[in-house]
Amino acid sequence: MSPVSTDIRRGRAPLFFILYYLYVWLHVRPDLVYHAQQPVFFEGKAFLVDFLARPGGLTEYVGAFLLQLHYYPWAGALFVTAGAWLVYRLTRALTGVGGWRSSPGWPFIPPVLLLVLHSRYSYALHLDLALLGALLGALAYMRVPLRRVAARWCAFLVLSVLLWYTVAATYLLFAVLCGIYEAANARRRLLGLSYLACVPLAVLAHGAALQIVQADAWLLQFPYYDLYQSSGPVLLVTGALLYIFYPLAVGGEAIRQRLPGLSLLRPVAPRRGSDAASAVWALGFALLAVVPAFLLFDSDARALLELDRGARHAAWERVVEKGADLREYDVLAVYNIQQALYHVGELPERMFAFPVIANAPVISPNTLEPGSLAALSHILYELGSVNQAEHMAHEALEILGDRPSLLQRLVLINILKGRAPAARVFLGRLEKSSLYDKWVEHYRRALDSGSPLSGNAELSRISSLMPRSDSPGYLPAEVLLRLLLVQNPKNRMAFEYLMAHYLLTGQPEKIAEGIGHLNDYPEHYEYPTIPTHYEEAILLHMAGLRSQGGEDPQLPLHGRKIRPESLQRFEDFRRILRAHRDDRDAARRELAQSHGDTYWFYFAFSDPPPVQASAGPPPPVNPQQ
Amino acid sequence: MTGRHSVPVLLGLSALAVALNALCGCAPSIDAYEAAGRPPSIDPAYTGAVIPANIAPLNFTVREPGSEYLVEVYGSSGDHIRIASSGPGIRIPISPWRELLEKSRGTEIHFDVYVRQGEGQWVRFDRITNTIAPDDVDGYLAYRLLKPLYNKYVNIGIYQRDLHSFEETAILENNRADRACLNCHTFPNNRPDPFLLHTRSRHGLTMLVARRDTVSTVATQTEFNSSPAAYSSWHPSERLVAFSVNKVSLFFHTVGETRDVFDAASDLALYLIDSNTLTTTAGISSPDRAEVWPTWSPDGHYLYFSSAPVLPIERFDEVRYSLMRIGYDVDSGEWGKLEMVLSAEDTGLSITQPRISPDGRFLLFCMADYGSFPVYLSSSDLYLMDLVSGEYRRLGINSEQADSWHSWSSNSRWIVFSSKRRNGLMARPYLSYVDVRGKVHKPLLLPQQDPAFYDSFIRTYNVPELIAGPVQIDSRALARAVVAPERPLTARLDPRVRVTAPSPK
Repeated sequence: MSPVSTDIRRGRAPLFFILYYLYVWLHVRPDLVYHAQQPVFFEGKAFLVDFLARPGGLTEYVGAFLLQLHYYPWAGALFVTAGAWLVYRLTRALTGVGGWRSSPGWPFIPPVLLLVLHSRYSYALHLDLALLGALLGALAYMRVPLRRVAARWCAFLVLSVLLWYTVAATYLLFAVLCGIYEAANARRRLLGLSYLACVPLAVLAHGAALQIVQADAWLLQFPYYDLYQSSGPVLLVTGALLYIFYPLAVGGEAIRQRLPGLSLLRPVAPRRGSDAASAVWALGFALLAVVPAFLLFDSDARALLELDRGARHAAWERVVEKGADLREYDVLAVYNIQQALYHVGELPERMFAFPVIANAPVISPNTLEPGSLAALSHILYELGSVNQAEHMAHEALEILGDRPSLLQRLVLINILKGRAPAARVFLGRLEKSSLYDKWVEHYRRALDSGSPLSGNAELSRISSLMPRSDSPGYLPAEVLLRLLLVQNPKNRMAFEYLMAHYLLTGQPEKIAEGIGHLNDYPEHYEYPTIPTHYEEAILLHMAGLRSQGGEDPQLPLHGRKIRPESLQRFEDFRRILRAHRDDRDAARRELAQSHGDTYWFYFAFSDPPPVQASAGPPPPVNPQQ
Repeated sequence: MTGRHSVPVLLGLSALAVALNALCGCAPSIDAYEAAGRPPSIDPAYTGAVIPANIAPLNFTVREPGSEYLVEVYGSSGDHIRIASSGPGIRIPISPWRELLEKSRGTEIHFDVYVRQGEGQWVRFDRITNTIAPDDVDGYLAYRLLKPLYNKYVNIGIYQRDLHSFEETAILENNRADRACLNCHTFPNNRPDPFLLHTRSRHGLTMLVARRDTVSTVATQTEFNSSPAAYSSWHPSERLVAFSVNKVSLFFHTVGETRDVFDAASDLALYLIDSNTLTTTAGISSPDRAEVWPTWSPDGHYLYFSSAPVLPIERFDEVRYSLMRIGYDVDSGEWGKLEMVLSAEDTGLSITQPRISPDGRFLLFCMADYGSFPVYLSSSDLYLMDLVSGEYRRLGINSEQADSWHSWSSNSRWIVFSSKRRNGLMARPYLSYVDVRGKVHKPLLLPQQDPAFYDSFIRTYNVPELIAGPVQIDSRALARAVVAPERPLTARLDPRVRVTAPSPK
């Protein structure tokens, strides 16, 4: 009975892979992988041809297609688990060839390493396929019933061409495995060495085929190197372990036999036991194996992805809830939280209870954070600044590729701009991604009707917020928000974002000025009292005036009053601050506990301290279209 | 989800069957039909156009509902092409198409479109007629493809299309060249060799001059110009290149077209290739005027360009360029008289992108409400000036959207231009026939193998240039010149040039 069937019979492998599946499905969550990568896959020859034109492109194409499965978490988990199971089967077979037939735990190691890789969210699925291809090729070579050296060389050559084309640089694993097999296991050293010599040749050939001209781009050929560049060392180290495992597995027994000192390392065959004992063993091994996956699991990335996914799907309450638990954050998370706070009506109440980007405009494009450009496009869109939303969406589209979510945004933007033919082109592009059939059909019908805004409350609402007269220029956040508000004083989002901008950039005096706006359009600004952060800014501003003039300033609060509890809290803040007059750190520590969610705390302790944001330089120029 | 993937396969098999049918002349015959009494709606609208005899098949989509489609294409020679299709996409087989066009040169060809409605009756639409021009268009079109409306460039490529077929090849893609920005590919006399383009990357701002198998890399900044060369024009002698140096900045609108460009200062200069020298003269580098869009007359005696007074960006919509020219003797290096060709004060519009037909007869240019960058201005239209009479007129081929980036074929009988007429956002290349009297005929959208290609193509065609043959130089050599140039040149400033004012930066 083969080791695999033994594993299956004893329940080791099935139990292991059932747990594996559940872990991927429920803990890693393939839908978050899909959201992180938003794989671009289009039907049609034109999309395929680009892939076929380069080595490894076929695997990337299939990988991009299969990554669509991650849209449905259960299906994505099933595919990842099936891939891991195939790797397990191939590993078992290869370690058998290498003489480690009696080591039942070893074949589970690659699936565990793959689990670590899949837990990092930026891992490219096609690398699984490439690995499978290389292992399958190596096994096929080892089992080919040819004895003559020339015949084996021919088999190697045929498989080399096939694999080099389909899996690109992962082919190197195949060549190394075949070389080790021949040299160490099959005692055909010259043949094996000739295979190993193919490795540098393949690297050169691959580079030439890719038409690489930069010296530093050669490394990009290797699996995981580009991921290392974008995602850090965990992927690279784990990938390296995965690729080192196989040469050791195939050549290990031969090395051990040649080095008597290593004989002690001979693995111990498991004793025969009951099926129940085997199941317990499998469970224990699975739990043990999952430890590195747990330890290396990128929980911060998952939290940020959940947040972003929630924001893109307008699950605002969930975004606020998740935002409260963040351990780390980035610009994208801050944008998402502030957008969510606006939607749940708490932006002027709780903004400083969440992470903020200190002393920065409330919206600020940064091409170094392409994910934030997509979020920024969404925010600008909701603000009614459709032209600026269009600009950001195009920036993101250029940097991130033709992601369906960006194509959807551009469809809506072009509808709003009355540019139906352009909307149709983006729909046509999106249509080639079959997951969005219904969405495409809905908007195509709307366009066919000739009045796509009618019956669409969201589009109609955004349309009502759009500026009607042109204000050309390079518009920094404050100017843009003021402009939107001047053109449409009922644009509550623009008002709250403008106020948030004043708060973030240390302009409390403008908050006081903005209070009058609430009274002008009461039906659109249903705040029962002055919102908390606005009260905090007004109190801060009054304190500043008092310290300059010595008299109690009279601020035009338009009949509104500062709540007593806010006054009391401000007094408490000042008292604690005075008590630690000589020890700023102590003041910060104590106030973080009692007043960490206030504007006063942000104003006093943010680093860098808030000052009025400058307009900033204009963006780089590429006027060639 | 996977079920849909069988559709392309089935369509492919259907197309193959249709092609075989067409080739062996066994497409279904239609004995009875109703007359629609109107022409069919087809896209692209290949109707009433003048087309070159060396163009690829005009594949199109029939925008009429139906279950089966049949198209007959025929000319006065009696040759017929029949295309039957279960879908509205009509792909004309290339070999019989070429044969038909060659035999129909100078005459008309016709398209009869039949559509079967449901399982019932066939409907025949009114005949579509196009005319085959007696003159060929240059065989290749070079253009830049990029997505619209962004500052950060990741994927830019310069490509060439064999107009006789659908084959498109990359001259240079920036993913092979360290993501450099590539722009302003320029050819002399419609020949593919030599040619130049400009690059901007972390390796520097350089001009690449490709000649046969070698690529020279030239840094064109000097004491006169801290900005590199931008819009260029080869002198017909191929001994020098005129170029502009610009100080452009982007700004954005809150309504209408999103992006706009303002040229705060620009000058013109010449790069003398053999001596690696940059020279200029006061007439084309005045500090109180912005000079841009240089183009040589075919005899090489005049440099035409656009020129406007320098205004602050707040008055961007008042900037209107006039068309001027200056004499130049390439042998002596002597400059001639500066002349006004067409004043913006007279036209009330801004004149940019002048291009002269190779026979020297016509000058094609853009006029828009304001500014120097017509592709962002929906008001931009094409105008044609008769250089013999000096008269000019707005062409009937213009659209409501930006029409710009035009160039001539080497025989002066064809123009190509980029137009945003299809969707207002992405520019597409159009070919128009210009007859000997200067009549410019209905434009023809560059045909594609996939009849619905433009329905989902989200890149924009930029700077289409007609060339007589393909660019032969290996794209790796070009990429290497961007990333790791061998013996890069730095242009020397002509000692006769007096630098009296800060140059554009």
